[in-house]
Amino acid sequence: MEATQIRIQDLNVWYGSQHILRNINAAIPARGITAIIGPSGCGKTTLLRSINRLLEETEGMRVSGQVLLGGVDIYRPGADVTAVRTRIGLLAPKPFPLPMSIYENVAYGPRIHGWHSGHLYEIVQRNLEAAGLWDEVKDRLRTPASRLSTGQQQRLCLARALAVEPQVLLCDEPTSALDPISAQGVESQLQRLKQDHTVVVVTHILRQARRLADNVMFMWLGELVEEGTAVQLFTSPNDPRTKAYLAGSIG
Amino acid sequence: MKQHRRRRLEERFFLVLMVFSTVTVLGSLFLILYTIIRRGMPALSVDMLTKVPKGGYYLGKEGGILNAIVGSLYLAGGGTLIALVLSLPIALYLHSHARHSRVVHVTRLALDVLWGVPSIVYGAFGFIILLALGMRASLLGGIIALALLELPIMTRGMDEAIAMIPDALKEASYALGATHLETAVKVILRQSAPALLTAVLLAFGRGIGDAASVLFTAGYTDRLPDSLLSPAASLPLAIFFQLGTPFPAVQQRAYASALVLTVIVLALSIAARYFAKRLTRNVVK
Ligand SMILES: Nc1ncnc2c1ncn2[C@@H]1O[C@H](COP(=O)(O)OP(=O)(O)OP(=O)(O)O)[C@@H](O)[C@H]1O
Ligand SMILES: [Mg+2]
Repeated sequence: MEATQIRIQDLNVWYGSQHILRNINAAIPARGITAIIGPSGCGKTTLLRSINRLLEETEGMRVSGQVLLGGVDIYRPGADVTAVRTRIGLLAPKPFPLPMSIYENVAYGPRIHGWHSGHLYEIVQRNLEAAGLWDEVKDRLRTPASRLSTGQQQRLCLARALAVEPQVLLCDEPTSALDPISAQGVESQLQRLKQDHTVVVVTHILRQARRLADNVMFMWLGELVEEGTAVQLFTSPNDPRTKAYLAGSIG
Repeated sequence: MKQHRRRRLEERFFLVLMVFSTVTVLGSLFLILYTIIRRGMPALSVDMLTKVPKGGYYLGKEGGILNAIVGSLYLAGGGTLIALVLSLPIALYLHSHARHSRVVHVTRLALDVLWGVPSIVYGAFGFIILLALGMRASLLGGIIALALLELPIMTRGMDEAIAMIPDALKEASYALGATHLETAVKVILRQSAPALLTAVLLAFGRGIGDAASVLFTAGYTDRLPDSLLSPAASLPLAIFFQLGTPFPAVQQRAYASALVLTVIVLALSIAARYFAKRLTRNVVK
């Protein structure tokens, strides 16, 4: 039995009067990859963004309930939002490099957290390697990040997220903007990262979920319908909605 | 078939309209430049640029407009600097967490109203304040009046520039544990830097070309300004006074002064473009 890294308790999210997430209760195990699947608009992105408190940057979003990281509620009064986001990284569906060089993009996080000492270059190199981008950019670290291809940008965003040494990495459709080869690259990086990180991946691609996931959460209209190990959920789903979704999408 | 014809005619019509508008703008600019160069060039001399008016200058005798050139640079430079120091925080505030609050809406409305206030009103307002403080027309008074005149232009320009930044870019920074302030300074300012520079330049151009706001507040003098509290001359007023004389030779100097003013603004625009281009290097599209 693996230790639980993140426990979500009675999580509700409203946008104005729209009830976007309803009574979510879930446990995300430490290490390994947890995939969140479900039809478009069911609240996958919203759930992901509530796990690193990015949701509150959207005006009008109201959150209630608890998200426990290692037993401590990240929504407790007085919790340091920046510390939460440093421990729980997020990879967005579309890569957004920061308006600076490749090197500065990766160094950005370590710099703002004051880890800027002599070994910043090593930090940059290590994380670009971890994201599988180092060989392609090592000779042009000082060029603007916006000149990279989309696939390279997405891996840069991964390196940038890793550079602040998060325990948890949330990925929102991390390959949706990528060609199959780049996508495969990102997938294999995630496979490696799961050895010592807790990875949560939102995906529309069921085959990707099957390839990557150790655990799966299935969402439907703002509810968490079912969660379980990948084997259990894909081979013998309990809920009829899960069955229908898996069957329908395969066909 | 008819549909096809109609759409082609529409295309034609809008093309003609666009060309016409562009030609009108370029044509006016060319005409203005042509006029001030043709009339001003003969009067332009080294003396014009390097000397202050001597006795009888306004009758066509010796001297130059160095007092107005230096005065204008001080006035507009100082006004732009103060406006910049105030504009940047206001513009950032308009896009902070309070961005949908009442205060923000009212601030934006106030800026738009201030933009429309005629510059003579800034001048009169500045003059009343000077009187109340027991001061006389001075470089400082002019700088403050110009800062007020430039503030709404600069702030709204920056406001629009920052509004263009996608939320996802800011969130990329927040997601790394950056605070709002860190994100503002390191991401928002960098991303919008070229457009911010344009806003500053527009405000400077408005400031250096304005006569009415400095008329009562900075006054006019034939001497170079030697302190913040002494009066200062300016190019727009120099043009105004020289044009107002009955002597053709002096009127010609008015055109030369206009030429100097135009060249200053043009040189700054070109420099700003150059820097904006370098700043665009890192901007994410
Ligand atoms: N910024 C927002 N403003 C208003 N409503 C929002 C916002 N973001 C999400 N919603 C609403 O919340 C619900 C869930 O959206 P969410 O983006 O979480 O879905 P999703 O499962 O990620 O969908 P997709 O698979 O298409 O990305 C939707 O009904 C959506 O309209
Ligand atoms: Mg989504």
